[in-house]
Amino acid sequence: MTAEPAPLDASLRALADGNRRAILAVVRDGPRPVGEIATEVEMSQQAVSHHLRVLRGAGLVTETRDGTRHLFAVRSDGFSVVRQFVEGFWPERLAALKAAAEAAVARDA
Amino acid sequence: MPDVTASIDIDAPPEVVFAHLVTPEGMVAWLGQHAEVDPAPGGTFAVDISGTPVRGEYVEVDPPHTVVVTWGVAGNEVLPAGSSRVEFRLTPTATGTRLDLTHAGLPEIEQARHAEGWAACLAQLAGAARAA
Repeated sequence: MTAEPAPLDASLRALADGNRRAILAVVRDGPRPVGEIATEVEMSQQAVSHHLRVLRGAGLVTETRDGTRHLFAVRSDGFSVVRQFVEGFWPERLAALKAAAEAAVARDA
Repeated sequence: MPDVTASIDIDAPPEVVFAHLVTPEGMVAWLGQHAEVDPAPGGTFAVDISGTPVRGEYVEVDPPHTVVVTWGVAGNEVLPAGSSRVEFRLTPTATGTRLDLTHAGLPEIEQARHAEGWAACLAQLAGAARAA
């Protein structure tokens, strides 16, 4: 039971880049190879590979293999990342608030 | 994105819970590691939570019932400082306080993604309206 905002921060940083959001939009409908993604977003394969590494590091895309091709797909879009984070964040924080407030009462008693 | 809600029953009076929402000491006891707060409408609400700089301002401060703050992450484009809204509502109970939290105004990534498509669509509509 730990609230770790770090993953959210990584996701938000990954999503803060317009090129990466464009890449996410492309791989949203199914696994795609780097070359196809690059063509669609009109960027170099090298740049797309870099962005895919960041997105993968933030847990937003997954990489699978089809023969010799590496395919990338959406694991979780920004919408669900932020939502999952906030939904998990508040119950844990409110439990900590409860403990802190009850400890304050016990101290003053 | 739909509002996120959470509630908890606390065995402490509303005044004590309220103090944890409007003082730096209270804030670091449960929310983050560092806090700077000016609990008045328009006043600073800044809490660092595990290295994430959460920034916003107080919107409503009604002791010991209600605290509303804006909430975002400094320097972030998806959830900018002050971009969402967190409401804390405190209700006295037989044993202490019921806290109801609502986190509203979270980003709609879908909308951002389709912004270009919508702009083109609106331009077309505008063109059609002029032609008519």
